Amino acid sequence: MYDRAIDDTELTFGVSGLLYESNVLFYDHQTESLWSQLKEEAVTGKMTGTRLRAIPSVTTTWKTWRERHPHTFVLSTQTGFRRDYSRMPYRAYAESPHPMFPVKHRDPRLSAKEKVLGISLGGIGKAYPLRLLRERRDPLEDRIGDTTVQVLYDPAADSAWVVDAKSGALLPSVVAYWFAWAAFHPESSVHGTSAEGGEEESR
Amino acid sequence: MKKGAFVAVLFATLIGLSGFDFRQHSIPLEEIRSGGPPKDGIPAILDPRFLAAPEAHFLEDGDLIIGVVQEGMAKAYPLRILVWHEVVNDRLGAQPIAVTY
Repeated sequence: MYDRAIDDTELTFGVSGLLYESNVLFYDHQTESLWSQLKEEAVTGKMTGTRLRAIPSVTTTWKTWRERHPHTFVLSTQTGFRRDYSRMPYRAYAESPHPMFPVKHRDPRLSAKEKVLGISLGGIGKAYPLRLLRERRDPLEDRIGDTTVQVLYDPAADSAWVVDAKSGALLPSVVAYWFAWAAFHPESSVHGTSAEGGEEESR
Repeated sequence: MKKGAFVAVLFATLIGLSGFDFRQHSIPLEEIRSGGPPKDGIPAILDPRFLAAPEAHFLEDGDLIIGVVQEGMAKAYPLRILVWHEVVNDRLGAQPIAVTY
């Protein structure tokens, strides 16, 4: 989720149908620049190099969300388009172990389609394999740069998010396949691997 | 001309016709690939409508949503809808946002 206000202009985004490193490129209707979702910036056109500001959000189940936020609004199926919202496309891809398209930078630290929670904080990237979070009962506490964070796993949704341990504020993060996270954050460390760097794990 | 270069030029011409602005770029253009659907083949939502939670009969408990809270207001975007559109151009109060999937 991103801020659409760029330099006092309100942009609207559409789907370009193009990919970079197997990850979608959006375009803005105002300048026809292409924006990389995972790179979080414009990569072609007048906006090239302009960063997107991420707004923290969570992926969870409808039940969990509704119970936590009973007054929530929910996007309606009255979208202006006729689609079969009772059906989910792309299932075959989710179940295949391979990226749909070639990825230039392969990073062998994890298998390509292992799901990770990725966070980039003050220029420091870190990936948490969901596999390791699933095994835990308690939130994982960790340090990224100067910030102490808690990584929270939601078993019902098989999803996770990150909060600032001190303030409790939600931080921007993304659940992605490892190959996609690694392509855009090659410097990222991986929780639970020897090349993790930083301090020792306290568990 | 080598075949690879020819394909690259052909592809550059095709995407040039799409109306995207490639005059500046920070990534090699030949690494931009077609994902299948054409421009706007997956239509972004520009005019989102919302329901209160008890009215959302199309959702089941286990359905995944992307949720956000801003200034005490919570909004949920079901993946069931997002997979068909990939982008929702919305607003949280005065804040314009793009919800992407």
